[in-house]
Amino acid sequence: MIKNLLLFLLFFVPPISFAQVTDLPAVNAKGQVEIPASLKKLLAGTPYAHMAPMEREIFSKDVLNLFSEKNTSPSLVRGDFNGDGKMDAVVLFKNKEEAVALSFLSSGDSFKVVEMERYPLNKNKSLQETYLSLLEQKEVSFKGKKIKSKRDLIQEETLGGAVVAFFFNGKSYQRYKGVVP
Amino acid sequence: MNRLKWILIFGFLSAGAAFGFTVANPPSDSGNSSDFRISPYVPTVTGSSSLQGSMYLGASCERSHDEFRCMLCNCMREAAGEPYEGKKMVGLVVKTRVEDPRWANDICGVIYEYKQFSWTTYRSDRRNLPSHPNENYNECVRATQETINAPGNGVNHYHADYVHPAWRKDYKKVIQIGHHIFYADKGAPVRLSTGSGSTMDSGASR
Repeated sequence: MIKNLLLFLLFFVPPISFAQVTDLPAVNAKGQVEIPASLKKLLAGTPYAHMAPMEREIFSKDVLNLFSEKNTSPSLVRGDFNGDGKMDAVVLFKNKEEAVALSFLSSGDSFKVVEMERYPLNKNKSLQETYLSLLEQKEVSFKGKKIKSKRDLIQEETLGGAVVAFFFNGKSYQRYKGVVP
Repeated sequence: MNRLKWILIFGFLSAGAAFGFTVANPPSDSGNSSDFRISPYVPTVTGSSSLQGSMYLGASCERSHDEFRCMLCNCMREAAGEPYEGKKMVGLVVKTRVEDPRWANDICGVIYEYKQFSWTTYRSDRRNLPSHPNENYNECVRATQETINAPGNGVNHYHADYVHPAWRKDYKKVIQIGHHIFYADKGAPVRLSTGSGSTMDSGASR
């Protein structure tokens, strides 16, 4: 009986799509965020094509200490942001003047690119202290009450300062103020 | 007609300044904003700042050098809806930071520092102060009056209870008031006192 059940699970449960995970931005052994070729293709022809993920070195030591685990980075957060049960990612990109938080949201077998937030880099400080972190579905609350959320939220934090949570409303990102789809 | 209206307003303001009108103290022992009532303006012999609140009605919250306005805007944007003690604590966080060389050395500098208070980051959040006083505004005026010249109390960070910043692990949790959770540097002394002057437990959970 158990053997049959195991055989059933082995052959009939659809396998987890590893392709979608490997197609997402990930942190390499050096701690840098890498954008897979398939996503670079998506960015080609967009204003983001020439932007690069923020290098690890740009963040202050205090920020990096918060991300001491392997496979984590202050410029990358992964979770289910559109509520479809698949993994998505948000990456902090930058050019000379500003930072752009860009999300890669699963859409069928592919991804779509949606800008989450844009802000000027702090010219007064050479090291970046604004970074991304995850607010999991199970942690979503407001005024002391749990809020049922079908999706994870993204926090944009500045070390010891402002913390703004964003959610994807199906079209764009909004700041979280107690209501989430 | 208009001229007459302005003469009357000017006359009223002058009389107020001369008598030193003030807002009555909120009940300080409860720390509960629901107990707070604004009494009619009462002339006092101490001449304490009086019409300060009405001076700022409708004022801009764009960056300025007016420390009272900076504190008042910060209170309204950060702590409206929070208990009175929570409003005061937000002011004391600013004062603690002013005394700490890691932040700017003046009130407006601390408040408008890059991405430290989220409302200063978003233009839409920097809207003017209300044109008409309400309970939150009156409490913020009072909280600002009580904290603007007070020393900091060691509490230098806080966040709303619906976010879970990674940075909170670096600090010592001191107290939750309303929906704000307040922190201090690990190992640093914290002086908490209620409105009645009694000291609250500063035994922080870490």
